[in-house]
Amino acid sequence: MAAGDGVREAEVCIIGAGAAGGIMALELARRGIGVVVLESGPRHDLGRRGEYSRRFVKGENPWESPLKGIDRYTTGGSVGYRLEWNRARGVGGSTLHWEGTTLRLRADDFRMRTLHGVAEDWPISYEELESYYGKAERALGVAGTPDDPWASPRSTAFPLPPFPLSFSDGFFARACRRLDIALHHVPQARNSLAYGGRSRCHACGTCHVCPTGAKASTDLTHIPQAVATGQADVVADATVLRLEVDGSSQVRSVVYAGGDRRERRLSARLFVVAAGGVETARLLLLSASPDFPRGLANRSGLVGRYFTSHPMIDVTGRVAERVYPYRIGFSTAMSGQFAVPRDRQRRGAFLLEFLNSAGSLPGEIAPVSGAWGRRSASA
Amino acid sequence: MRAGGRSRPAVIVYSLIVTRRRILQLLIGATGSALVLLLFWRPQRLAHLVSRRFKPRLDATAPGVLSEREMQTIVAFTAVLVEGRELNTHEAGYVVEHVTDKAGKTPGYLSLYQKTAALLDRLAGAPFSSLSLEQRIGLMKRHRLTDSDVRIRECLRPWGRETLAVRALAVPDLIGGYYLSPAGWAAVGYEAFPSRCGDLTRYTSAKA
Repeated sequence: MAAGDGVREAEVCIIGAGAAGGIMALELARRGIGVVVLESGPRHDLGRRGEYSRRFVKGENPWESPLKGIDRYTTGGSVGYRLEWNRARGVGGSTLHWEGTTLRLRADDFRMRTLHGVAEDWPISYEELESYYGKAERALGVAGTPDDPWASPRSTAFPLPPFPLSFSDGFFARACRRLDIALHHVPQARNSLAYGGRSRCHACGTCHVCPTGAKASTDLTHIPQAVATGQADVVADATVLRLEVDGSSQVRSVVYAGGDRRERRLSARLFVVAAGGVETARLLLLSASPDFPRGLANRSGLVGRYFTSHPMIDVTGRVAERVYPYRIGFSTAMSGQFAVPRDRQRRGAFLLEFLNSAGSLPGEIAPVSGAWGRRSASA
Repeated sequence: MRAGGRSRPAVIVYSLIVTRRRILQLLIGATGSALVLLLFWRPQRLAHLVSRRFKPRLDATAPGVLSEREMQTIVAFTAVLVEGRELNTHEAGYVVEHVTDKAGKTPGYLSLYQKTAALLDRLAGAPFSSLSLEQRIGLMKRHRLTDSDVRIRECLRPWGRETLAVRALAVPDLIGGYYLSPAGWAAVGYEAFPSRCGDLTRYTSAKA
């Protein structure tokens, strides 16, 4: 890699240092291939996560984008979805704030057209992907046990033992038994024991900001290893503005800018656009040129359309017993019973997940209950 | 069509004037009818509309830092609101942290806290924080400053707007901020709670 005044060169340029970009950087660097990773967001040092987690419990979003102007999203549909809260700009990308739930797809998910006459079949099968799932689980350190009766076959064991079911899971388990719904553990990319040079989980309860590093995120698991090979360089606060094609319709360079808004250029033999579901599409559209007036990789005209995420519908209720929520920030039990083939031509698959962090917080109850003020006034 | 002049015939202009008046009449009539209908058929909806219009709101003044005296007043006020006793150092620290954070980051809160402190000092006739706990409780009860439940008829009164703003905005904010801190978790008997790392086995049992 050579660095000049505003111009850099690399064998491979990866755009985005999140889940895909971080893993790709490590895999290439291990093979001796020089990589430059351009990441739009900042580095979020582990040392600052304690402060981040305190901000998170106050309802702030510590991963809030430094580029607020371009991160204003709207969503359609009847179910609201806060896209900003489900994305993070920074080295680590959305793995910074994900909950760590690491479910595999089921074999029939790949063959929806053949089996149910809806959607499209994937060009690859679960069986082809299976060994890579195992590899990813080892890299991330997934805690789990193969007790999901609806899961597709697996050839490798989980690298870490599962997190035990929570106290409140016991209530749901009893209720589900009566309804013939089976519960199983939730695979988690979170250390139930020390693993990969990271500590075990200390039940801090703020998993969207893990202050100990027990939850896997590529800024801790993959990117440091990639950099340690000497083959990878990560440039933070570098927002790619567009990809540039040469006369032979090959992408040969990207234009990016940092906080100083000065445009720089990076040339490479190969480019990997790994900026997430929203930003990847946006970048391809921003890269329109006379040869590609609708943007890159967009002959179909479908780039940026039909984006679908996985919304959740929360159902909460009050029970007479104490259930002790908020002692951990991740789920330990779920049921995949409704994600099985049965009637997928009529209805989408869904999972039942039993949250351990749900219900009103003391700080939300107190102002509306009036109990605190009255109690003190009558003192 | 005449070049350089108005292109429409006079009769249209006349008709437009009449139409405007008519529209105005219709608007007044429709608004009045809607209010009457709301009053009789949807009184709660009307109440909501009125309270939304007249309930105290945060202004858009810039964030900043409270003076030491203002902060002491706010802490002394919050102590009565949330516990009805003097706060220990940790508890007072949670209040200071919340108030500093809000005043320093969110537009309108510095001004709200300053107005709250000024009102309390004025009602006390001395620094509010210099009053004994009983005096503070008495003063706050007298002026209903512990009651954040603001009625619609109170919103319509032209007087007492400062007290109303304290009750409607500062009281719920200070109570919420305090109980969002570790003090809130302590109030419900929790030792482990979000942002306090500890024992991983605790979540599996009936232990707070």
